[in-house]
Amino acid sequence: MGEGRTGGLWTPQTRALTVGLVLTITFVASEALAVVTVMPSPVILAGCACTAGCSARSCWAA
Amino acid sequence: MLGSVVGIVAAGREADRRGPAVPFVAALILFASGLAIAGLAPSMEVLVGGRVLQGMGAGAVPSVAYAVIGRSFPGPLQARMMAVLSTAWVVPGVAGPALAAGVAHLFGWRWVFLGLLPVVAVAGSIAMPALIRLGPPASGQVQEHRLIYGIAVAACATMLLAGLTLVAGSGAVLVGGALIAAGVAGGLPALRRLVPPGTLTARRGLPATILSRGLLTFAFFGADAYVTLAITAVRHLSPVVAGIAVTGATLGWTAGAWVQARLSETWEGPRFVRTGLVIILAGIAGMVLVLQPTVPVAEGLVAWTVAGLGMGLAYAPLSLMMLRKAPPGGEGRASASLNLADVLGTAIGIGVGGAAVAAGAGGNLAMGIAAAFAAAAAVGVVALVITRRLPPGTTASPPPAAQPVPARVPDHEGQR
Repeated sequence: MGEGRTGGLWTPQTRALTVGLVLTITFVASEALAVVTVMPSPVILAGCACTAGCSARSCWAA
Repeated sequence: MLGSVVGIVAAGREADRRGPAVPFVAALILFASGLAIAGLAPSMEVLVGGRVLQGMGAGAVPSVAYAVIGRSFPGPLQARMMAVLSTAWVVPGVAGPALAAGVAHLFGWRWVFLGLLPVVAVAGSIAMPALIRLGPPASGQVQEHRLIYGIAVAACATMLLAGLTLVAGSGAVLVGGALIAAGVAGGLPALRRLVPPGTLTARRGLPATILSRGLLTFAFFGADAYVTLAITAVRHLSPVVAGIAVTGATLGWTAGAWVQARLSETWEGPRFVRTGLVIILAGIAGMVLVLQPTVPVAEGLVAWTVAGLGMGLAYAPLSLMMLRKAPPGGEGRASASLNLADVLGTAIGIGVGGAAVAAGAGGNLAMGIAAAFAAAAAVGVVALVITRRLPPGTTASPPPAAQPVPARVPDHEGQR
């Protein structure tokens, strides 16, 4: 991941947008994945795109 | 599903009407409200209600994010941004469940929800100034998305899935068949209002791109959902071993996303999708083999990791083709169509697979899972045929009509 390939995403002008979007998606994903660990299935399904079952990333594919 | 679909449709529409900041804030407020309600819930019913709100907010975020990427970054950077977003899944995918279990053990399950509140607020506020600067698109008279159609699509998809479950699980053919027929008859007209004209017939260009995304998620997640079951219930190995396959697919997906970013200026978009689909089909074939007791399970772990790589190759280029073909000022609605295809493809793929597994559960579970894999593969083959109708050109090439907004976007010349 050299600077030449990704530098445009991390310039001072674009950095905030890139970081903000990435962090938002990371935390939303964290919730989707974390809740599978600690909650019973009706609770998992209520917030998930699928109704028949969850496979982590299928809840919210980015 | 209802919350997610409503969130997707509303966010895409509002991103075109008002710019991305308003739907982004609304999505985060819904998500945060859902977290708070779930974390403080006095009963299971309230907890489920909180999760519905979370789903609505979480469903809205990708529609806004894609529209923002389309309007903020030039072609080559869009491909890299997609790869970065894919990488954002790795840490939660690998560490999320363990971290959540630790938080639940130390502080109680409520803090799995409540603990995310401040970090979501911080993340959203970092992106907000750039989103406000983007403002509404300069032009944009495109197909109107009404929420009622989103609600109808979600309700009809739920009926379809319930019908499939009834037919396969309990043999209630009449009731199940009626639900399936009602779901299809009611859902397709509503869906037609939410996707570009010609999507259901795979018209060349943007419509075929949207349809391909639904078929892709059907093929991958329709199989992915039963990989764990194949390893634990058919091969009788621990969930930890199955977790290796799922984690491998996550890492493979991210690797594929970076490969497509690196090749985005030389490979044409349809080539990525075609290659990715062939790899996914090979991965599904590998999982079918693992259902045989004589085949080493390690083969399946490798096969599903490779399938993840194929998904990474195919997934982001479809997003980029969508952004390239979206009408000027209609990026939000095109993004919503793509995300709607994501959600429906995933849900129906998993539902059809579930019906196949349920049908086999009474007698031969391995046969049921094999049928689920076969259904996913069949849809993958259809997607492969449709790649001929995808927009030609590299995914890094700028859209012909909707150039990034130079006045609001920083100069990238020094970095390329």
